[in-house]
Amino acid sequence: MSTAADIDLVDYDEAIARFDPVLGIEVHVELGTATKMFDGAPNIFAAEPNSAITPTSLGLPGALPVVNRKAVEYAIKIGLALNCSIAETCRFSRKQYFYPDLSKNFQTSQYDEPIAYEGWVDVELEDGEIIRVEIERAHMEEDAGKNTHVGGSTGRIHGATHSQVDYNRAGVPLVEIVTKPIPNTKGRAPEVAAAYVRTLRDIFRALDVSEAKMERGNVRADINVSLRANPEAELGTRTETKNVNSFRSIERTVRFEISRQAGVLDAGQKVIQETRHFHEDTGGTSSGRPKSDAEDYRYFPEPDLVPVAPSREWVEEIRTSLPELPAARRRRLLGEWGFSDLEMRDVINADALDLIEATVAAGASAQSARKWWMGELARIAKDRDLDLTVLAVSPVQVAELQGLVDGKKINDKIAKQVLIKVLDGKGDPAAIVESEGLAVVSDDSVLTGAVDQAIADNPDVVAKIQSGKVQAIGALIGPIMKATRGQADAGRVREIIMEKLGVS
Amino acid sequence: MRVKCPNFRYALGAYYLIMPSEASSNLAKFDGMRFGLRVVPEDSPTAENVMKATRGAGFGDEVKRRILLGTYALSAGYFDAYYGSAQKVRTLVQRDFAAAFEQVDVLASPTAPTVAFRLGEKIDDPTAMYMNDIATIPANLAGTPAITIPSGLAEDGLPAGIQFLAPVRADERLYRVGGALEALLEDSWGGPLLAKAPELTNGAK
Repeated sequence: MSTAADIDLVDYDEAIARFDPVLGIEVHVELGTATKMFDGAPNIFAAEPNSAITPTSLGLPGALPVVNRKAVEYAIKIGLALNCSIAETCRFSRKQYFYPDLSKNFQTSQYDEPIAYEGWVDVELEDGEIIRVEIERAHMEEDAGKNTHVGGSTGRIHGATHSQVDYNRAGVPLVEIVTKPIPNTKGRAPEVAAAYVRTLRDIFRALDVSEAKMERGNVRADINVSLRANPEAELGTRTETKNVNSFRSIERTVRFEISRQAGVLDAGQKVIQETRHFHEDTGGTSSGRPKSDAEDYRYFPEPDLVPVAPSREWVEEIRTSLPELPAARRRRLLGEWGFSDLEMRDVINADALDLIEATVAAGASAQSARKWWMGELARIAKDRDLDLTVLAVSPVQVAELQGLVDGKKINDKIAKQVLIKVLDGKGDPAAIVESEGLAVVSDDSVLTGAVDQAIADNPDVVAKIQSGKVQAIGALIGPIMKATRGQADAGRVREIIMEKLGVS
Repeated sequence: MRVKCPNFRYALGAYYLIMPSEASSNLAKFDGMRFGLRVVPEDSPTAENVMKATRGAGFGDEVKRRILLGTYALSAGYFDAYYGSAQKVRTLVQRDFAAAFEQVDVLASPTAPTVAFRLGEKIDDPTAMYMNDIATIPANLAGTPAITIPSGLAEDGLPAGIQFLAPVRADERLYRVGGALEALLEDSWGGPLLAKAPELTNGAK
């Protein structure tokens, strides 16, 4: 391990006060193509180990690669969405290093001629501030297989007796997006880093080029951080923390590295340019490989593949077919729905935009859709420690539920009970209301009996009402609602009581 | 007629940078992990050590020599000077061919600068072996078709060949020219040259 263990972390705010952080982020996204980047093996997640492979995935002698046209199309889509130029010609290169999960012992990637270059993307922070991140390049490459270390207690290679390799992921198409240095984020560097990756994730989903699930590793971020004395100074030495897989971990990584590097510099030492790893349990990073092992990847142009030269016609065709991108969509929906900026940001931060849009599409008003997803459902999701998106209720069901409320078939309180039943898998809202007899009771013959009973049971309340304290009616409505299991039409009950007691 | 191909003189050097570079990369997959030979060292059989032992045992001297040369040529700081320059030479060789084929339909040259070695004669002299490829390498670098046919025997009975070269996708010219010359030569020899080959004796494997 490095000497970093001996370094005292500097308090984050103090580090920010004395140093200027600069970020650089590399994002890998696994493309959702049917087959792999260079062969016909299916591109699927969680299949039986070593079942989604071909001789090419395994790097067997004599196997040759063929470029997946769909993957090139997806890479161009990503490049265009990030306002990049698309290369008229580009080529693949071999990045060479020996590792068991790398079947050919080189990764077919792009080096000096990426498919897309020189772009930008606007990133909106939680308070609405917009930061423009400059994109250096986006290039195509293949993923590696996956090692599993067996026999040790930690699942890491240390202490393991043997390792297994699953090549299902070997050859899965990736696009790697590299930013230029991101300056001027100051104390907001952690938030900017996470918001940038979230912005890319949303773009990948809007483009439908990837499922873009962080937790599955569809999107992985390498986070570069460096410190300098002030914004006019030369860039400091950076560290690269590899494969950070959640937005929260990205924030923690940046925060930790700023505190750690400030500590290194305060101790009069130099930041070592190195690969580091983030640890979920401690929230810290540790040195990856010793410096003596510095890699020389010996990149050279892939002799088995011809250059990729997307015609301008094809690029323009892809450009015109691009879907509405998240930022434009948010602006449009904000106008259509009439939410406040704050409401909209809460919706976005809760990942509820798609859900609300689908609920509105199914017939609910925007405000009622927001009320359900940001209110009752958000509360339930939090209680159950789940994401809103995985709750067992569909936007169509929420719209149907709201329709029952709007049609006065059920009241708000019953609606919440029906929702729980939907979540429990008991069916659609209308069917539940029907089969369980939960519809509002507004039949006077039923209500009159309940009113008569309440009047008889509460002579003191009746006396108060008759003496002019009309607001005491509530004390009669309570028992009536209870007697009707909450299903009484409260407005009609009130009218009947007033008629019976001769007040107005 | 004679044509000038001034850049062919650089072809051999370029080839012996490009070919070992690609070989060093292409042969990386022979690591004992997925197929073929696997040699497991007794002490510390880590993946890296298994790869080292397998490759050490499995590759012969000439293969190792080429992997070393290629790895060196692709190393950081040397790439432009070696591999990069060699690829430029390749383009120059292609241009020489293009210029030559504007004047003639096919080119002819000796296949090698000397008659065949005696069996095993140069096995410990790799440079001499590389040098002997000098006439055939331009076609390999440029990606143009070429054919060699036996042209006769030297005084000591060792064979020599003649090479014809044609433009890309004009392979059929080579069969026409090669076939015509072969027929003439076989008429003069009274049969195929191979019929004159001596019986292989001891030392030949």
